[in-house]
Amino acid sequence: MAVEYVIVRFPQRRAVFVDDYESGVTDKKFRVGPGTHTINLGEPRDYTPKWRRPTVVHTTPLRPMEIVFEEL
Amino acid sequence: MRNCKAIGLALLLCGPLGCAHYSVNVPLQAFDEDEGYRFKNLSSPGNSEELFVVLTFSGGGTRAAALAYGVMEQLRDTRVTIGGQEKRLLDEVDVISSVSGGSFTAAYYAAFGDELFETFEHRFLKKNIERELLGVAVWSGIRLLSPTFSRTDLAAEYYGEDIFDRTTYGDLLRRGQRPFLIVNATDMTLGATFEFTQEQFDLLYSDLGAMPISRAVAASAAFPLLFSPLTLQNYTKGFDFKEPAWIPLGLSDRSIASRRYQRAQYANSYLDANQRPYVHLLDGGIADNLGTRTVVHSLATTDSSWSILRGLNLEKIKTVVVIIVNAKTESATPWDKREATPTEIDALKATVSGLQDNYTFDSAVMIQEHFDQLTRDAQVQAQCRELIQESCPGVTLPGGEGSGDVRYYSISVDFDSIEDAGKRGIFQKMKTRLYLPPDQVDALKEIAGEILSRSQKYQELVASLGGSMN
Repeated sequence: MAVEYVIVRFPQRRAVFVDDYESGVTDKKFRVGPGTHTINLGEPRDYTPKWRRPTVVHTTPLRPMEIVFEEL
Repeated sequence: MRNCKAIGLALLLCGPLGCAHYSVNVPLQAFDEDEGYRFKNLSSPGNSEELFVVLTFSGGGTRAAALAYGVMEQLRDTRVTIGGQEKRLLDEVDVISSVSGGSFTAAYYAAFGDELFETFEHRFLKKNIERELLGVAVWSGIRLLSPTFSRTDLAAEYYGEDIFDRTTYGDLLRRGQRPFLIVNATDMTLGATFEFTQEQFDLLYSDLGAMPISRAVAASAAFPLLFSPLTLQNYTKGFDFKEPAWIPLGLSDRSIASRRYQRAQYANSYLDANQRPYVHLLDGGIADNLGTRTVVHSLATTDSSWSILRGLNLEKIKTVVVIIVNAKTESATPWDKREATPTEIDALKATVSGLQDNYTFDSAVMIQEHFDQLTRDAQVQAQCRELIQESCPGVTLPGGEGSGDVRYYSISVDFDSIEDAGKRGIFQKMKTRLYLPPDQVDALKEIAGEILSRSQKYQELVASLGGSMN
């Protein structure tokens, strides 16, 4: 029952989708189950890459995995 | 002439036999992940988002149904104040996950709401369901000779007519209110939980809406040997079918997330209808006698369609309450008092109840440990923040402050909580049957309310919500 910690970086505040479900917001730490996840941002689609697919394991609340998206 | 007689005899026999077929689950007309009996399609007027309450009702025949009913009464009689509004704690229940005997109470409340408190006792709790089923079996005995009609199908028909008024999942959806009902059965091939939700039926490309809730309850309570498995058809997926994203991802996670991998494997097994054209279901208690597996999944992952973890991430949920109603009794067996080898039936009983007890302990502990971990994580962040403030004022932790103010309550209602050994013994010895004497039903209702209201965690919860108990 471990949970993992992720933070998605993007210059604007956006909804963060994990495996098609809205699961957090940018620049704010959130939790997922351990494993491989497809992460993308909410509308508008003015970011790159279109999605990232990290394998999230062995994180802690103090050392979340950072995922970075950039503005197009 | 001889041929005519043979045909006549065949018609005579095959008439009733041929007609006897289980009620087939229907295929989807079109796949739509936004339609059907899903958590997100149930509105919650009067049910606040910040308080998320889950109830799990275990198996255990009428004993379990009565214990669950007593908990519902106590929740009805507990007043809390949320957002300045006084209300019943019962109206804050978001999800009920149930198994076997507990499914009768859960499904009745989902179908009829407060009518539970007026009619459920005489329609189920204090009715001799065993005698009723026996009567139906005698009258419909010939139908049971059909290979496509089982004792469980017969029970489902009886429950549908006499208890649930032919209510379907479509009716629950039209009612449109929480709690979201998750009736759990066991997939006989996988030995894993099978949930009666549209998400699960998506994998069969089948429409749960047309199914009577009585069939779900009958599957959930199809205890091996007494009842036969209940069969569902698995349909070839239409071109419009969209596989949930987590399944292929989970299949790649074998070495890093074994629970997710296993769940993905189970889900994946339904996707090829040619390989598994039928799914056979047994009593939900074989895979999980508490109905807590789905809760664990919702608490620990974002894969669940009603993920509590997502609600916490989005800071919608501030308080999580899981009330586990467990009607497990002591296994008092005579086997160890005599030298004679137990029979094969004894061995089978021991295997089934042993499985149930193991998973029961496992799931309940997992929820408490998970709450402890989330609380510890929040404490670590808070302490770290304090240390940083002391040495480097103005510096903040990456990713914000975290949701440290969330409160978690895991509350168990079980016979082990009864302090008086004599009293505890009375409940521990109650049989697992679909009939109990009315005085035992009354005692179960009363003790459920007593255990819950005396629970320290429950008292803390009610106090934190500015509430009171009648």
